[in-house]
Amino acid sequence: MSILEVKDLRVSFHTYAGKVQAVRGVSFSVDKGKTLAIVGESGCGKSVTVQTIMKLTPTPPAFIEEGSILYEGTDIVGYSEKQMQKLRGKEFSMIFQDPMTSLNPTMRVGRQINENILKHMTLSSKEATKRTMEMMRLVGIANPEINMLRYPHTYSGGMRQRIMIAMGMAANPKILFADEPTTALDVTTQSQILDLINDLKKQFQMAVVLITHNLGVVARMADSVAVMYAGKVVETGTAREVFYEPKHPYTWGLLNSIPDTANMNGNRELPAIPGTPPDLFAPPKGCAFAARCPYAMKACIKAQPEETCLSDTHKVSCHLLDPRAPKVEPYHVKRQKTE
Amino acid sequence: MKRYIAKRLVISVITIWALATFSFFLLKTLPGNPFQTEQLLKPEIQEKMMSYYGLDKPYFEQYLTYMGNLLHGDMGYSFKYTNRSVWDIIMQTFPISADLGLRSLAIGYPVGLLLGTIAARRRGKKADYLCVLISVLGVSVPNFVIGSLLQWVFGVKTGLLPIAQWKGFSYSILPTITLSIATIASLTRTMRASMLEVENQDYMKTAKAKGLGEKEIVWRHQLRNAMIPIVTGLGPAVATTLMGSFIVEQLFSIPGIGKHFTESVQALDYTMVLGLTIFFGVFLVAANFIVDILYGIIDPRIRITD
Ligand SMILES: Nc1ncnc2c1ncn2[C@@H]1O[C@H](COP(=O)(O)OP(=O)(O)O)[C@@H](O)[C@H]1O
Ligand code: SF4
Ligand SMILES: [Mg+2]
Repeated sequence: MSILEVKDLRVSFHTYAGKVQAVRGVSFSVDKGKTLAIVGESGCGKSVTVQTIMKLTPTPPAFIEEGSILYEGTDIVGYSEKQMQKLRGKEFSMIFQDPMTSLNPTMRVGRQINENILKHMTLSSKEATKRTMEMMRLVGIANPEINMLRYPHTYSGGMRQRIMIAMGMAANPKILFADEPTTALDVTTQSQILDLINDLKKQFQMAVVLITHNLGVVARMADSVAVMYAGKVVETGTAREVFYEPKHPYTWGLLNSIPDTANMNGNRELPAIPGTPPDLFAPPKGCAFAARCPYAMKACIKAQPEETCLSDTHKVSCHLLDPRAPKVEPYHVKRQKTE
Repeated sequence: MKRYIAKRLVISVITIWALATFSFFLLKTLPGNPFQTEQLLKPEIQEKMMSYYGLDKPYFEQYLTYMGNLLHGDMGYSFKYTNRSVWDIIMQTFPISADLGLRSLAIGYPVGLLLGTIAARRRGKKADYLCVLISVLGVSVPNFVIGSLLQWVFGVKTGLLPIAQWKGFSYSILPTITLSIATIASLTRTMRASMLEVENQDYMKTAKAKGLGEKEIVWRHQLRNAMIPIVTGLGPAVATTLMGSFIVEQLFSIPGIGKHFTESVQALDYTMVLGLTIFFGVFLVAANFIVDILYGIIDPRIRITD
């Protein structure tokens, strides 16, 4: 059962230079207690998408032009700021990319966690402090009595990310958005943080929306995957479908450039596919990937590809899936057995 | 902490010594002597006076004498105000300037912080433009123009307030306002910029993502961080304001220290200039020291732990 369903979401930034169409029709759904990974090159609209769901991007400049965001069946697009405040931190939480800058430097970490608890749970301040300490233990910080009195700058990046997680988890949210939560950390720490998120997800039956650059992370964490390109989801499906039966040339490109020596825990950035993404001030009429796609046809330049459903879960937007299109060989995709 | 204080003390002493030495020799490079200006004394008498005060001795000898006396807390006598010691004059004029300065800070800081905060919260709206306008005017219109204007409106035209001298509360109103305008203007600008800078920090997004309301975000997360640059500038700002403003004191005929500072330079009143410089130096060093400790209270990252 899906807890969150995003349908045809369009978000633009109204700037002096014009309208940046950052998100141009994104649809995906997240199941209760499952992990959805969103992958794609930098600038393709991943952060804007999840921040729009929590309405964290200020309006102006960001405007939701179209679409719906169904949380437990209710469309929250029209929610007021007051209504959103009840959802943020309570139903949804978010962990950001850079733990060095996402904690308030002038507030003790315990208080930063405590703030969340007091806001969303009806607890006395004593009980809230107790819960703060529980949360710190839960994310692996020993001696919370002392450690909650420390300031963020006295912690390492990995520990700060743990504190962010404790803060996010404090009011038992149903969905955790993690926007590249390990990109700024070293490899060992990355692995520990991902394990922690995975454990908590299982323990608390929480859905996770994980944005990442790292396909190894996707393989290890995700139940389903959405591949984004230039503000659109070009392919989405279960992790199995996207990894083993990818159908979109962009997905092929991503998977293809996993190095041979890949072990799925390594720290790899998304590979560079030749060329650059289109200008989002004036996106092309046809397929946005056409300029970089080795299979581009006339139809690709003329019109945007429609979404084709290959299964209940597997959806791809590419003209190659049109029955009239030539059958092409996916370029060599090296697959690795993953658990 | 003890080690830190000891270190700071040593550095402070060296700073003051360097200041005194530098000022001493710099003053000697100015042409003329303290007895030239006043009552057109004959050259022979001027020379007599010079030797009486020891000013004909080699500079280095004069310097040693001065520093020796200074070590005993003796800053000598003024040349201009005969029979009055420099310390006497400081003790008589400084409290007045400090009083006026404190009053203007007590108004200027809260008002400036408030206007800066309002401007940032209402960015791009009318209230913002108004605050920016106030701050631009306050910075660019000179003190004496504002002061004269106030004197004209409240004194000459309406007769509501006294426009000169220092004899009680009503006398302090106009000079206090005049002096506080500059503080208000610069603080509004600094606070506005600082609030906007903090607004873009990642932790502000974290605070929003927690479901906090706007007021909670501003009060708990934004203001304190935005105050950091303000606290940094507090030391010099307080010190300079308490040391008096020549212009405002002149304009309102207030017998403060700022007026003496400028007058003593014009009169080449060596001991007076040196004494005031050293006094100001000590004051500034002390103010900065206190602020550095305060700074640690507001920003835990630079709290002194050593
Ligand atoms: N505040 C903003 N103003 C204008 N454009 C923005 C703003 N924030 C993001 N964008 C644009 O939105 C697009 C998507 O950004 P983002 O979601 O951050 O990408 P990513 O997939 O790397 O997370 C980018 O092309 C960026 O230029
Ligand atoms: S629609 Fe055409 S250009 Fe776009 S990915 Fe498919 S084949 Fe390539
Ligand atoms: Mg991003």
